[in-house]
Amino acid sequence: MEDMSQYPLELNGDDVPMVRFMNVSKRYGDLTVLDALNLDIQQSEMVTVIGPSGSGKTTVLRMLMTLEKINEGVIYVDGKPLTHMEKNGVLVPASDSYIRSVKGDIGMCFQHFNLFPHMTALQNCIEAPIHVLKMNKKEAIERAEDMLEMVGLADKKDQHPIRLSGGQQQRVAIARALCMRPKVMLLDEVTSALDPEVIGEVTNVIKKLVAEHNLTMLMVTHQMGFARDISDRVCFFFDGKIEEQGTPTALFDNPQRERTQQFLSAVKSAD
Amino acid sequence: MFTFITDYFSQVGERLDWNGELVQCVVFPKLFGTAYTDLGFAAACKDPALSTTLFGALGNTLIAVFLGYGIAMVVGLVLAMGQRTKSKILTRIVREFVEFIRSTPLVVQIFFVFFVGPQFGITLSPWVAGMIAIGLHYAAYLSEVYRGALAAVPAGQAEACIALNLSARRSFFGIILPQAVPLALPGMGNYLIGIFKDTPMLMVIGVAEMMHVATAIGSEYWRYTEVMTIVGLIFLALSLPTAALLRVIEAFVRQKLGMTR
Repeated sequence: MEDMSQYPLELNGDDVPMVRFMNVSKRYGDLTVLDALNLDIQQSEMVTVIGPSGSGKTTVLRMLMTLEKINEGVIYVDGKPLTHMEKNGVLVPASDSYIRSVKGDIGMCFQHFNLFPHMTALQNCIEAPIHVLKMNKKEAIERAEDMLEMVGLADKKDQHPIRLSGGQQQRVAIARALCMRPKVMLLDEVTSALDPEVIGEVTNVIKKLVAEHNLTMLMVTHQMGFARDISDRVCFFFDGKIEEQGTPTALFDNPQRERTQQFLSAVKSAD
Repeated sequence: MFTFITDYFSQVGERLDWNGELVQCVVFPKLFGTAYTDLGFAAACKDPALSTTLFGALGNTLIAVFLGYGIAMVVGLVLAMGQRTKSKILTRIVREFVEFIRSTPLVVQIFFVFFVGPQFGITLSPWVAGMIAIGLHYAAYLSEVYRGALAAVPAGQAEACIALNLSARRSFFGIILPQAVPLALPGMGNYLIGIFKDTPMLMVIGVAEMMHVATAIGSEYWRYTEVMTIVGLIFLALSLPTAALLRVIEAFVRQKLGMTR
């Protein structure tokens, strides 16, 4: 058993990170996907995770979204533990209701959009505000229309996802996540399933988000150019660990580790 | 003016009833008969079969189908949901229950509910016993249809629900279940026709559905060929359009859900 007393009940101080992974490990049976990960993401920081497939980079996002349970360690969001809760002065694994009360600060967009196909774009966007935030319908619609406007799809609000292109669907998915006013936004390979000619419309929306909103973002992507353009920090994952991290310029132009150099040159030659 | 037609198709005869009294009865199915007098509650004390017509009995058959299928749809959903919970024990119990029901014949189950209940002081009328038996039997089958349909909804939908912080209840009833409906409809249609064709088994406990009436008419007047032919044709005439209608309903549901272009 892990000694839980090493983890603080909550993070206090002047520079509490928006997200803190503390000694987080994830295993499937004998396979260790993430090995004692320590990662802080500051308020309003844009962090991009790159790495070969199987390096655990998507798992980082999925753990933070509570789609995966962690085996060891604690994840904190905005100073509060997410995966654990306080009981008699120590942290114990969090109950479902506790997780629900904390994870509202986190929003996520997926590789395959995962829009609700039986709802129009607008209905997709008002679903959670009405049923989770208990907003009244009129306010929820106003907010959803604002967000759809922001992603440039105000005219498509009454269309079902099946009638939208991949790029449009992903933009609706971004609007849907934003309608919940998350503090942390997770983007899991949001352009990987898109045709090349529509990737730009999604990356432009994300750039706009970074420029105009005070969001903390964690993104997994295979688009190195895009990562370089908008990230504050890039983390290179290899074999369940952060092999190297730094500013985009430092990591892309002057990688220190051999694995990083190999990965970047492989990606470059593939382009 | 229609009396000549009804006269043509039916003759009134006399026979001895179970109490040894001479009663009037229908000799041949009165095709335009209106009365289905008996819902089987009085089955134990008189012979209801001959007091109704084949068409009257068709009414009983349809009531049995709708009641039985209604029970099966609701209980089947509960059984399917029971196998999606986090509790392994509950999942196991429900799983075994479904397998048990699916692995024993319907006619045995009907007998069992009707005749074994009284041994423990639970006396059920043929209708109640029959509806419980056929409802549970088809609930087990429908639960498998639901389970398959629910499992066929992409995992990303449930993940989107978690990401949007929707409650488990809203996720299931608002997001997952509606998407499973069009996937479940073909299988559900199968079992709707199946339950319709299985209602004759209710005759073994004396529910006055078509087959029961037909057998009674046949044995009374030795006219099995005619009466069974008519019963078969009635089943055919109702099953065929049902299958077509179900396809229309499926297309309609998909369209209503916005899942077609």
